[in-house]
Amino acid sequence: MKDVAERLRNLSRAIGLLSGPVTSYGKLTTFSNFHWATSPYGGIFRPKVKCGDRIAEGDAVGTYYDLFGEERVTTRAPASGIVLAIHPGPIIPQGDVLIHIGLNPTQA
Amino acid sequence: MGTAHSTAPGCTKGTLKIAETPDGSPCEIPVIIVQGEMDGPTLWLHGCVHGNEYCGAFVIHEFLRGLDHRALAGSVVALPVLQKLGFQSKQRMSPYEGFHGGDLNRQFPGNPGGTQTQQMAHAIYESLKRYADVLVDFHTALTPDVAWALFPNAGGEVGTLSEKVARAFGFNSTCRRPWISWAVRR
Repeated sequence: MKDVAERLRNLSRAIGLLSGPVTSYGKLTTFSNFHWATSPYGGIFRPKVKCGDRIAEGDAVGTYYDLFGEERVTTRAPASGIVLAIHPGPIIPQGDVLIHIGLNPTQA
Repeated sequence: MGTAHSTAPGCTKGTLKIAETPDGSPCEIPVIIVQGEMDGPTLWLHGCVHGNEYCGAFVIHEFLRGLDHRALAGSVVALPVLQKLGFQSKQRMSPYEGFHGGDLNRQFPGNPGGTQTQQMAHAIYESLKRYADVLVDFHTALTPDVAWALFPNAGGEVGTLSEKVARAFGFNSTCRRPWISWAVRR
């Protein structure tokens, strides 16, 4: 929260609302588009990737378990890119957002 | 705006009525205006356009706590909780319209003769279009490490300002998105 409030102050300095030097956060990573995948299953879920990870299509992104604790299935990345959000588990309802991927990341 | 009338430098608080519930009670959302000592741009901040995405409200509160109107050249208009009907029921959308048009974030610029959520959007957008030079709209995702931003790929003066704002905010993952012509007032 304090980090984002400081980013708002920096934005305010950039538009002249507040005085003072503007911090440069460096290059941005931009994307051609996003891929949102929803969960095909419900149940216990343990993610294998985290935000900011670069993933390739087919990489394991998380594993579902049944109520006996047995592994049911490992789900795979539907696209290549940067992980922008991943369901944290421990329980995921079918149809919830499983993973959000930024496609074709480029530095700008 | 609503009951918040800022007539001099300083902080003014009030509410804006955006809807009525089925029992006729008003749905009023908080409005905070901080007018600076000097003239300058108006920064508009809003949170909870999805009722259960709370981070924006907290960020706005934190930002306002540290703001001194004497150091401000321009104004800040902050609405920490837009979708109050969703906020009250701890859900993303209006409990009255849900998936049938209850997502306030999908209803701008709104319609004064439309559904309840469209009327809510209209009530907010009328002021937004009148006063805001820069809009920051906060959302919340699954986990605390989700941090990405969008800005409109508008071209011209608006595009230049939008990119400047996005870079100054500085989330590394920041995506240009197609712009929507009604969203720009000049």
